Amino acid sequence: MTDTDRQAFPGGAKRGIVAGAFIGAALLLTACQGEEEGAAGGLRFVTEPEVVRNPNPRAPLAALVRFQAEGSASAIVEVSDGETARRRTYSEAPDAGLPVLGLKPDRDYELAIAIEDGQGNQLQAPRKLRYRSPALPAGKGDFAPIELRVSQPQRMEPGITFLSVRRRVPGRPHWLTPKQRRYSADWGLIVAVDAAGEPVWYYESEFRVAGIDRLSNGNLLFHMTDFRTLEVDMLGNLVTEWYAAERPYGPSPNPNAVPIAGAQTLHHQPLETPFGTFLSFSANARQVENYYTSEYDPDAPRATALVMGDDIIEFDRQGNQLWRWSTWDHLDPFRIGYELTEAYWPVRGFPNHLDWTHGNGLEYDPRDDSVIINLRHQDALIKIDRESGEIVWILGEPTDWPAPLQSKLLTPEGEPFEWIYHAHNPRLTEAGTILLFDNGKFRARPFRPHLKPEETYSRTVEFAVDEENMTVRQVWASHDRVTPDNCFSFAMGDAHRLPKTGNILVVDSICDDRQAGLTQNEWDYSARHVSDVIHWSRVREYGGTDHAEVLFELLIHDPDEVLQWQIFGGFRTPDIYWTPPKAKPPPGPK
Amino acid sequence: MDAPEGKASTRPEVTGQAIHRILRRMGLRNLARLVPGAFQGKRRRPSLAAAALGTAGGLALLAWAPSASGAASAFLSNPGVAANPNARVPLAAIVSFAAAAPARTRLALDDGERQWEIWFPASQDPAAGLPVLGMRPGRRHLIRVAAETPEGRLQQHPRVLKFLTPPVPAGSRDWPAISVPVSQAERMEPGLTLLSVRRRIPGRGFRLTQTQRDFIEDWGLLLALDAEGEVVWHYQSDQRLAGIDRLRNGNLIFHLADFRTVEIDMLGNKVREFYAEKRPWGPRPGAIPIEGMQTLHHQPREMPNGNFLAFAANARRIDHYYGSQTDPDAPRKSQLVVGDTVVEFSPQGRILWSWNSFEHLDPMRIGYDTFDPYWHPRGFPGHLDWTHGNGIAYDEGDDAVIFYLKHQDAAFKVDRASGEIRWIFGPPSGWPPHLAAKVLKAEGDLIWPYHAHNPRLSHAGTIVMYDNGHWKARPFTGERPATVAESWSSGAEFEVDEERMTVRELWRSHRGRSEDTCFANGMGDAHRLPRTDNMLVIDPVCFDQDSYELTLDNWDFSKRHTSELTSHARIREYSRSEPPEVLWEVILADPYEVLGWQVYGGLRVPSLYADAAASARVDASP
Repeated sequence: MTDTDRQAFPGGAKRGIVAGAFIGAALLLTACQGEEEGAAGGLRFVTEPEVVRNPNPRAPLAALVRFQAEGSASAIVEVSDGETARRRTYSEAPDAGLPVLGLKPDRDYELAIAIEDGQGNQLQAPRKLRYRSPALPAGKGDFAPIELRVSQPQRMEPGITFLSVRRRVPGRPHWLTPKQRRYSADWGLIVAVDAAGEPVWYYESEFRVAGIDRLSNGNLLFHMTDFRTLEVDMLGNLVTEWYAAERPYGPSPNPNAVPIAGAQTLHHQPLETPFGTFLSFSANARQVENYYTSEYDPDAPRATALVMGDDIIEFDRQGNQLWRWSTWDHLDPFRIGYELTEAYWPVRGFPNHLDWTHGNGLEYDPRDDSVIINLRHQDALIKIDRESGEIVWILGEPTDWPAPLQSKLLTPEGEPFEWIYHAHNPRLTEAGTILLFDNGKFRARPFRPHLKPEETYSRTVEFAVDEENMTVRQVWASHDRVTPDNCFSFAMGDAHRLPKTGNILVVDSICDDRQAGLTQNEWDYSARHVSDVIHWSRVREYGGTDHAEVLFELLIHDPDEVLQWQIFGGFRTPDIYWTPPKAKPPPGPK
Repeated sequence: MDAPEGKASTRPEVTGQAIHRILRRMGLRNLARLVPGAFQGKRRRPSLAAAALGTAGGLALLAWAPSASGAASAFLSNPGVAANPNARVPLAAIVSFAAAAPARTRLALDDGERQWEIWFPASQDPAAGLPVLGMRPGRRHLIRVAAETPEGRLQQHPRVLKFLTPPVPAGSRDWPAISVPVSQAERMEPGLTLLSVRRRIPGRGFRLTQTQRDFIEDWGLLLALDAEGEVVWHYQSDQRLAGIDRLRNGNLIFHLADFRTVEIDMLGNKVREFYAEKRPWGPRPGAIPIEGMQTLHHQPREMPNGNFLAFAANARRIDHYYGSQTDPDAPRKSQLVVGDTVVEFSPQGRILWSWNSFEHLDPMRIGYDTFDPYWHPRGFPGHLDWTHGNGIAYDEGDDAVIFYLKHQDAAFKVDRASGEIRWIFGPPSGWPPHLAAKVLKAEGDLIWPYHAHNPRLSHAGTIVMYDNGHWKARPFTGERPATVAESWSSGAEFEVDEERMTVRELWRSHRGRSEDTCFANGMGDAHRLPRTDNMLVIDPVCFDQDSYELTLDNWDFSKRHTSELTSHARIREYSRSEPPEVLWEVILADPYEVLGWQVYGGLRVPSLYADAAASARVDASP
């Protein structure tokens, strides 16, 4: 399959039209020349091509071109909206429908269809097709309210940005009514936007979506809040579904869903490995005696507790587990973090369960066959050798680690340097550095004094690890103090270094107007809780010298400030049809 | 939207197109442009003025247009239909044509399910546009036009007009979800229910962001529902609306949050506008000032003499005033205290009568909520809310004004000629000696209303009001205020015996908290309906959850405040029986409980037209 974008001249829309028209005319001319009846090597349209809305309403901006042809090896579809035209060659049979992606909402398109026989003969369909894409949902609250703030396309990493979007009725979780909870949790949106912040594709989910990954087959992989993992194609069709076999909601209603045995949960950010397998967090409960009942009061009585700790599971398409690494086997359950006793698991079907590790992002490093995980409530990034299961290093503040792990701690080198706190979703860059979203929440571990919300800043930070010397250097950070420019994302967040430009894409999942006096304690009624106030979400691309310039910024911000909008995370791809190159598996036997 | 169809008349016609051609030929291109789209078959929205002008042009040309037939036609032009040019009332259309002579006109409407007729008197010139009201949203309507010929024969025009009404706004933010759990149409008071609808983002008022405040306050909706609970008319306001009154001319009048009083016709066009001269936002160009007044608020009322009664609250500084509603020994302060004046003003805005509560009542008799920040966001920071008038009725029989002061927990009847208080209906505690004799005594089982709303004088001479039942106590009396969990609201009817100075309770929708009660700590409305004696009760606020301990005190941060919950509104028509039977129930809600929906109040009207007989449903749907 080939795909060319026809905005040949970077000089703007008007020249784009001229260019599109010119190239369109040239194509038509070529087609006409080879189009004499019967002269095109047996090419023939058996049925006239038609274009229809994607029958799956979950991805309404996609369309299908359908026809039957004889003698054709491939089909060429050129889509023009009068400003730009793009051409794509399909090798699949057109009978079932050729997916047309990247259409903007509420727009008129013209589609020119041709078939080729692979020997240089081409036949143009007699008529161009007209298609009007559907408008975005009209009801406020039914789609992400996108507000573009900054866009310098010529300096940005080319491509489109996929975002996993959530909406929420304001109010601390235990205050929400069942209807409010359903409105918040039984809805999810994955949207792809162009450099102008305009949607070019979206998928509406029946459940809140966490992290998303683009698979090498072009499909999307994501976790849902009910501990299912879905693979969905770009028409929104479900390809594969896995679920945690021991989840509190029982087996999936989908008879074809693949159970992951021995897993109570599958959560946060799934990842495809170069082997075509999948890595995921699976938190599982254990009963721990004489455990903490508070992370704020060291003298609070101890009690037997149900504690959630993460396993990292590698599974294949059939649900076979190929590798499993459990925090219970390697870490100390008595090294706790703030938010141990928060109602994270209780509202997800595990009443009274404590949140010991809270894994939220993992990476695979094919260079040395290792897995890098972030455990939010350990305030640490941990690198694991996949072969031996041994911890290679720990990037995190040095307090309270058990003796056998002391030697694994990386020592900071150089200034400035700031430890990570309650960070999110590490990403390995092409240069081998690690980029992650450091939420910065508390900036302390129990039972030490912690920051108030108004003293907290979230940042995106890049680290370079020297494994020989067991040191870590802070390469870059987006913020280093509380300023009006920073957000306090008390959860979630994502960051990437972009391959072509080296720019940095940051998802500040939660931003608010940084008012003083909010509480982070859900049970403290004397002040408003951070989830009681309105908040929004911000996507930025940093570039220029020292990545100090904002080249792109969009907000998802309710213009009426009725709902909270959050972006769990996302990524940039060069194109809507783009599939990630298959990373090479590491040398040696798997 | 405007798609006339049907065969053209065999008689020569002077159509809009023909007028256009002729005007263009005469070089009057500009005049041709003024002939509205309705006459051209084009999708343009003509204004009424333009329609009139265009028709006038047509009539002028008719003077020399030869007539081929001797038979007189009622129509000098094809009728056309166009959307109401005023987008505030999108469910209305305008039919216009040039009539041969002043004559009665009949519009027969058919929306596929319902058929009905609208008659217009001969005095209403179709060339000026005939308003078509009562259509449901998102439906295609066929409109057949008939007019009386000079001979008095009803002539139906062969063209059948088509009009597609727009759907109601999409989404759950700009429109409440309307459900109708009960509708016994045959037992209901005939007519349509007009409702003043508000939306709210949950949260204590002073904690809302400016954007949230704008969302709440820069929006208002008037709805007209039929017996099936279907929307047949709505008016979009860019400000929150309080009480509405229907005027004898068919127009509506209401107060806006910025202390303007606006009269609109049923097409949404502003007819008249008044404003409180001393309002914090200054004069309003083009509007009529009500002299000396700082506010105009709650519910305006038309009097039989054509004047209007309204509350105008004004501030006074009072030294050594209370600093607390719970502690009588709290340090006294110099306070800015807002008290109501009842004003009667003419359509020209002249104040003809006024009654100032500061001159008749005791400012040191306070009620709960005096310290609530009611006036603060309304342009009077720090002001206390002493009286909080919220409804006025006029008693024509003995030229008296009846009004309710919520923070006095009392209704008052005042003689208009003397300004004297005839009686006070409210819990008897705390009145100064000179008023104690005016306080009505309860006869029989009577639940004293507390923080009630909007008294209405019924056709039977009884007093009907919405009893919010808020607090159920007065400050400094030792009475324990009711908690939210103990509170309930109801519609109630009372009869006053002025000779014996007693009051009797005749009817109440509820007599105690139950699963069926709502608790509304503000607003509300109730009526005894004139034809059936049914009772219309508007529960303005029903909280969507009551599983948490709540506070009614805006300054109590130990609990959630009622304003932090979402709510729905409930409109019911009850039989006036014991126990009452629910004949009609409509719920306005956010299906996701994201926004709170409130109905300030409302009323049943026989028709959307001033002349109730003008519009009649011929064939009601089952």
